[in-house]
Amino acid sequence: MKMYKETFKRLSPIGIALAVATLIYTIITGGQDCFGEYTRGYSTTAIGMTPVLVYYVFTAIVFGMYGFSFLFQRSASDLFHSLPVKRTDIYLSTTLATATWMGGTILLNVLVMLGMQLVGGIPFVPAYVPLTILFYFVAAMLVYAATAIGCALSGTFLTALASTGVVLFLPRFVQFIIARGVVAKTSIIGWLDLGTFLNPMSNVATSLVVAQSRGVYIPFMVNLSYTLYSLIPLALELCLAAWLFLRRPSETAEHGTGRNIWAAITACLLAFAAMLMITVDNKPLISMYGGALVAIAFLVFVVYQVIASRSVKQILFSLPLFLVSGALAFGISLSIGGISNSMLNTTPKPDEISSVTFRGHDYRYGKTEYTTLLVSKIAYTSESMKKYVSDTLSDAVDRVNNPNRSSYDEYSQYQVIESITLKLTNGLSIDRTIIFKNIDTLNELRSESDDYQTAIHAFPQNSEIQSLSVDSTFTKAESQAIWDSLVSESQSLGLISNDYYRKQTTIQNLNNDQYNYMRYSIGNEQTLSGISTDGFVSQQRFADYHNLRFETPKTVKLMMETFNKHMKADTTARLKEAVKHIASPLALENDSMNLSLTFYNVPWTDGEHVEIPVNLYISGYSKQSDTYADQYISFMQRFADILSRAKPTSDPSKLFVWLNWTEYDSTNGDSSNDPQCFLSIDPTDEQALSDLINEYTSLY
Amino acid sequence: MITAKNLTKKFSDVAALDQLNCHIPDGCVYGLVGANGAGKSTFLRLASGVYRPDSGSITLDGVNIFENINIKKRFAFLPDEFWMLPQSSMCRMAKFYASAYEHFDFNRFNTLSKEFGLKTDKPLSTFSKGMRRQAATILALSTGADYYFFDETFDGLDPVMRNLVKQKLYAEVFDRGATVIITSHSLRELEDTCDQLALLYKGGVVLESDVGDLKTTLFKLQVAFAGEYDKSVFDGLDVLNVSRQGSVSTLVVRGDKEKSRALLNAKAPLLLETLPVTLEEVFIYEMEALGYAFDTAEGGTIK
Repeated sequence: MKMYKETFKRLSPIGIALAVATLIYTIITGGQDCFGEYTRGYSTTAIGMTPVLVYYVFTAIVFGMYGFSFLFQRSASDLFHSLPVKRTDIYLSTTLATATWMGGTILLNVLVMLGMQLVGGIPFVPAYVPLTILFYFVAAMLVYAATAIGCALSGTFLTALASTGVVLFLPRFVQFIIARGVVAKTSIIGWLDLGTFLNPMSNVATSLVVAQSRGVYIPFMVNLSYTLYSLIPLALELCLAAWLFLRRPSETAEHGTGRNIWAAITACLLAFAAMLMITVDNKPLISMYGGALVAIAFLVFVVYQVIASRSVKQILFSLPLFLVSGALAFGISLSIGGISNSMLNTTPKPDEISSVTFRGHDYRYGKTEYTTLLVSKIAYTSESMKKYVSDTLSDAVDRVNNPNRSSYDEYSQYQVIESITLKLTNGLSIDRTIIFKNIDTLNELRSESDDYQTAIHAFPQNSEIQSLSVDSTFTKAESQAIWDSLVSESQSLGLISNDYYRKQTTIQNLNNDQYNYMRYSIGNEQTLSGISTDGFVSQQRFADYHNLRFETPKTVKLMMETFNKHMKADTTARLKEAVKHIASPLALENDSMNLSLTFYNVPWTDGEHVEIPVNLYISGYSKQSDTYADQYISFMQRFADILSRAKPTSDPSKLFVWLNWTEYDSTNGDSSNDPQCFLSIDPTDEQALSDLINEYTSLY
Repeated sequence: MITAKNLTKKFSDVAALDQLNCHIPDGCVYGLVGANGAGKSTFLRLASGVYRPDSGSITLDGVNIFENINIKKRFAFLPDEFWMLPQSSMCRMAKFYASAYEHFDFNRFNTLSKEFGLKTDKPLSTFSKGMRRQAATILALSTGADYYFFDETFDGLDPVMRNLVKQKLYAEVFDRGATVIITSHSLRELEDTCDQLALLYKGGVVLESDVGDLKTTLFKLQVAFAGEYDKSVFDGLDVLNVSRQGSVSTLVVRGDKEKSRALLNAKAPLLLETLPVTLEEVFIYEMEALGYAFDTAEGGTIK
C-alpha cells in the first residue's frame, strides 16, 4: 500500500497535467455542445460524448514509460531493485497507480460532460455513462499493458517504445492485413461481418486507431461485447508484463534490450510488419513498391539492432532472422487467399441453417432506422426464408467466383444490400453482406413472421425519442401534436411505419417519356414534408424521416393548419412584388430569387391526381448569362399572378399548392425567407394553372 | 555473515565476477579494493540483491539474498551514482525511502541533515555532487539497516565531510553492530577505515585479510653490516622483498617482529632500524608474493 501511494505520488505530475488538459478540453467542447448557439437536440454517439478521451487513452504510454522509467537508468534501477520491496509489488503499484490516474481522469471527464448535459438539458443515453467509462478504461489499460511489456523487455526509452509499438500494434496489424485481404477478395464479407478475431473493432485500443481512418465504424466502437472481449487480451498482456518484469535482469538498464535475442526478435518483428505491406494489394516483390518495402524492412531491422544491441557482430549473426520475417510475411500473404476462399465458399444449404437475421440495409453505414432496429432482432426460421437466403448467398458467391458474369444485366432498381447473420445447425454463425435482387420478394418472405409484422408497424415511443422536428418555425408542442396524430392515424389504418419495408413497386413514373426522370407521386402517395426523429433504443441510436402522405388525411390537415398558422398574410402579394423586382432592369447582379412550389391533386391525363414540384431560380447575373432566363421569369410572373389570388387552405382533398420562396436583395444585404404555407387555387385560375403546369412539365 | 561461494556474473561474454569466494563477518567495516572493472560494483549489486547471480551463491547467514525481502529489509545500498526523484528534495526522498523501509527513522534523518548542514526542503537538483553524496548517505543511514553497501562512497566529498561520514559509519558499527561494506579503487582511502580488506582482481578475490593482522605481521627492516654480505645473512627470516643501496638493505619481512630483530642483532649489524609500513606496501608485497603484477603509480591505485 505504501509503495502504491508512493508510485501514485510519483505519477502525479503527469496525472495532474493530463487530467487538467483533458478536463479543459471537455469543458470547452461540452460548453459548446450544451450551452452554445447550436445545441444538439439528441444525444451523440458514446464516442462523441467525451472525444478527448480517444487521445487520452494513448497517454497510457506516457504513464507506463514514466512509471517504469527507473528501468532505463542504471542508478535508478539499482536503487529500486535494492529496496526491500518485491518486484511484484513494484509492478502492481505502478499498474494500480496508472489505473487510478487514468480511471479517475476518465471518470471525471465523463461525469463533467454528463453534468453539463444535465444542466444544459441536452439529451443523453444513460447507458453510455458506465459503458464509456469501462470502454476507455479497458482501452487505456490495454495500451498500458503493451507499454509495460515493452518496458520489461527493454533498457532504454527508445527500445521500450519500439517494443511497445510491436506489442500494441503488430498482432492487430497482422489481423488487419488478413481482414483487409478477405474483405477485398470476397466482396460479400464486410469488415463488420468478420469474426471477432479478425474484426478491426474488437480490440478497443486499436479500434480507436482504425476508426480514425474509417469513421463509418465510430458508432460501433463503444460496445459492451468488444469491451468484454478486450478484457481477455488485457488480462493476458498484464500477466505477461508481470512475468517479464519479474524475470527482467536488472543489468538491462541502459542496455537496449538487455539480451541480444530480444533485440533480434523485436527487429525481426518490425521488419515483418514492414514486409507485410507487400501483401496489401498483392504488390509484386520484383517491383518498385515491393523492392522499396523490402529495403525499408531491412533498414528497420538493422537500425533497430544498432540502437538496441550496439553490436555489428550481433547484426551479422541475426541476418537469417530477416529471412524468417520475410518468410512469415509470405506465409501470411498465402494464408489470406486460403482464408478468403474458405470463408467465401461457405454456403450453407437450407437444411444447415437454423435461423436467419437481417442486421439491416443501413447497418454498415452506422446509422439505423427505428424499424430496422426492431427487424434486426428477429430470427427467421421458415423454410422458405432459409431457402431464399441460401440461394441468394450461393448466387452472390457465384458472382464473386465468376467475375465475367455480367452484373449489369441482372441489375434491378429494386435490389437492396442487406447484412445478414446465418445461425447454423452446427452452432456456428456466419455474417455476410449480400445483394437481394428484389426488396418486395424479401419483404414478402419476412412478412410471414408475426414479429416482423409487429416491428414494421411500430413507431418509437415518446420516451425513446430525443429529438422531433417538422419545421424550424414550429413549436415543440406543435411538432409533438403532428407526430402524435401521425402515429395514431397510421396505427389505426395499419400503415407500415418505414418506407423501406413498404411495397416499392407502387412508385410509378406517369410520364411515358423515358428521358424524363421526374417522378410524380399519385393519389394517396402524394407527400407533404415529413417528420425527423432521433433517439435511442437502449444504446442503439436510430434516426428516421417519416414522410407525411395523403394516406393520413387528418395529420395532413393538421400539418397544413400548423404551417399556415405561421405564414405571413401578405406573402403572395410580396411574392408578386419580388418577382416584379427581379424581372426589372433595375435588379442588381447579385439580387436573386428562388421559388419552390409543389402542386397537389393536379388532375393528370389518366384521371389520377398527382403531385408536381416546380422549382425556379433567377438572379441578376443569370438573367444575363442563362438563355432560359426569360422563360424562368415568365413562369415566375405567371405563377405569382395565379398565387396572388390563392387563399390559405387546410383541405387536402382539392387542388392546392405548397409555397416556399426566398429573395435576396444585394442593396441592403437582406435575405427574406417567408414561412412556408399551403394555398388553395381560385377556381377561376384552375384551368390557367393546369395549362401552365403542363407547359412547365413539358419543358423541364 | 555474508558469504559468496563461486559467485559468477557475466555481462554478454565478459565475466565481471568469476567464481568469487569471500566471507564478510558481521560488525565490521569491510573494504573491497580493486582496479576499475575488477568487479567491485557488480559484487555490491549482487550482495545487496540488485543482480541475480549467474551461478554460485551469495547468502546472508546461509540464506540467498536475491528477491528476499526479509533480508533486503536489513540492507541499504548506496550506488556510486545516486538517483533521485525528479524535482525532489531530501524530504521527498526520505518519504520515498520510508515507503520501502518500514523502520525509516525521520528523527535520525533530521538530526543527520542538521549535522551535515543540508537543507531538507531544498531541491536536490541544486545540490553539488558532494552534497548529493552526503544526502544519499544520510538517507541510507536513516533506514536503520544492519548492512550498508557503499559504492565509492567517498568520491566527491571534501576531507571534512569524508571524516564526518567515516565517523557516522564507525558509530553504526560500534553502537549498533552494523556491517559496512565499502568499495574503492584507492587503498589509501580504505586504509584507516576498514577492519577487513579484500582485493578484487579480474573478477575474483585474490587477497582477503584483517587489516590489523596485515599491518602487524608484515614489517620493514633497514639493516647494514660491516664488510660485504649476501642474502644468506637473512636466512631464518620470512623475507618477502629485499632491496639494497650501498651497504644498507631494506627488508620486508613477515612474522614476529621481535624475533626477527633478535635474529639479526645476533649477527652484529652496524644498523638495524624498524620502519613503518603502509597498507599499500603490504598489498604490493603480498600481491608480488602471490605472483600478481602490480603497479603503484597514481598514489596507490592498483592497475
